[in-house]
Amino acid sequence: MIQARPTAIIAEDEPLLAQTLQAELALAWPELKVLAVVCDGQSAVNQALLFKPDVLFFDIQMPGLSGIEAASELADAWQDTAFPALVFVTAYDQYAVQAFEAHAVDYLLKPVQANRLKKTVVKLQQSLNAQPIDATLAQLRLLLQAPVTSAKPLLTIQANTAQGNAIRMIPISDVLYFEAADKYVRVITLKNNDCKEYLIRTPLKELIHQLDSHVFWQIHRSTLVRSTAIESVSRNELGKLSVHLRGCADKLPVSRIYAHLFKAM
Amino acid sequence: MINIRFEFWHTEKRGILQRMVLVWVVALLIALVLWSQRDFAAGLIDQCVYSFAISTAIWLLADVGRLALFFRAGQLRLPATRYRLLYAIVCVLLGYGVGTLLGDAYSGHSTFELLSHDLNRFVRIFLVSIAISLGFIGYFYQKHHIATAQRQVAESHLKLLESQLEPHMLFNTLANLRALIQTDTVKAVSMLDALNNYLRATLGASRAKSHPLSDEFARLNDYLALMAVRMGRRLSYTLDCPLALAFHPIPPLLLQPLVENAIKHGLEPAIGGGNIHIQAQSIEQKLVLCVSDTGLGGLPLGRLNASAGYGLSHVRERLASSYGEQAVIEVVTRLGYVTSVQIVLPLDKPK
Repeated sequence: MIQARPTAIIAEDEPLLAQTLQAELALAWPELKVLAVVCDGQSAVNQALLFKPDVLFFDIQMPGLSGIEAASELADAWQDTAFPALVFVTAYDQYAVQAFEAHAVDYLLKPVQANRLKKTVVKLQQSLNAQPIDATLAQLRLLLQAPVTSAKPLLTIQANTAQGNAIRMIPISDVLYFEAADKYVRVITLKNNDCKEYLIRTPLKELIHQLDSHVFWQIHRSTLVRSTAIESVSRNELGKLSVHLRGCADKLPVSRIYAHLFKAM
Repeated sequence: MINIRFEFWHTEKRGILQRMVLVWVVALLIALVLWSQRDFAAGLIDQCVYSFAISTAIWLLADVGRLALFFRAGQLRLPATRYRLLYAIVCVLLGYGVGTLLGDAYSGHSTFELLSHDLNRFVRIFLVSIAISLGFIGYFYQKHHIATAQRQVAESHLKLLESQLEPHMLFNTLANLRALIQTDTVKAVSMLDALNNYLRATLGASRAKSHPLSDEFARLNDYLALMAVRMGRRLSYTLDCPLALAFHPIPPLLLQPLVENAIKHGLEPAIGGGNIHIQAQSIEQKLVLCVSDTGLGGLPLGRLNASAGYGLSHVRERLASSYGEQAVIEVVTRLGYVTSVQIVLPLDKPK
């Protein structure tokens, strides 16, 4: 039986650069079959789930989901134990490149140069089909760690009231969890056994820097939850974790990437 | 309340020692002058001791004390002017008192006895000391002020360059150029020309005070042409500058940060991209410049505040320095666009 040709997906939002990477790959690795070229993070996730390629080339800065976010979404939805080999592509991103170096993540710098690509290809050929998903999850978790900033801790959340004619001041200690929803972030509070919901416009990415990471745990790309409010964590038949809260009926999904938070002592 | 720290020593010691030497040189001169006038019934050595003790005490309080009190986290954060003046006066009086007592202790005279039997002479010496000290403090303050202002100008130029020669933009552009060289040389040449113009304008913008509006639009066109090669179909743009306004002078690349923001926060994060419209109009004796986009939007007001990055605060600063209060920058609502930022300028020349 002839061994199947290795396959790849390219996610790159700049069309010329996507073409070039494809052309350079054709020279450096003629057997590699590029199954799809997409230009945003969400399409990359969808196409990768559909085709289950051997290699993923993900640009870092893409509209919608960034390359790193897309890879984590994909890892979350991935069913197999072996994950595609992941190569990030970036033009210039000091923080990301430092992180890639530190955590031994494969990356290419744009413009992609033939010599450098050849090295990556050799490495990929050697390690094909040998990517345990747990190793990838651990790497992605490290990449997703927000850079440490010196933002002042937030003490109150200021939300518009439903009528929009006043500002509601919500002490952080009342907040049960934050959930990103489209253009807003939902703030769910619990006070005197009464659950309330407020909408704010500050993105979750900014809130994270201003909240104590021991108090609020990130359990999903779009969820930050008060750790002491978690009553239990359960696993469904598909192996997905979800969090149950005290005093609130909501059930919150846990990304695979953050599943390591919940282990029995 | 009063919090003394000596973290300044590491970075400031050169300046402190320079000022100390200068103060001592002047102290010696004062001692010589006073001694030659025989104003004070004391020998040269005594006169020197007084002069050095007083000037060193004042200098320690005013200079080293100021740093110890107000130097925090690598920067000198002085209080408001009137408190500064009060601080200087307190330093001079206290330093004068301490220095005189030291001098008295050395020479065995009592200067403060002069108060009782020769008030005039005491007042004269006292006023001369105070005038010299305040003169010194004023001189050093002015010098510091000029140095700070120069540093701020240099920093602002550097920031402008950094923001406009943003590495991510530059390397992505070069990567695209590299791709075009292999596939479409004609397009590669025009992209290189646009990059060339863009770089020339950027490097020159921090020097020239103004250029014609038509040049501004040509440079924005260069920038957008570069971005259009990169973003492909995701970016479309229109520029509209009436001929009547073509020669109106404006500060170079004033609109550039607004267009960059429209791309960075509006179009780049939008999966489908969008349209940018840049328009110049003359409305009621005002020049109205408007940058609108159909991108993601969401937080137009957030984008205008200081935390929204360097771009807008830079536009604000430049408007303030060129037009004072006559320039207005605001977020407006424009039919068909998600985000619109408008600058209104007087239709006469900038100052």
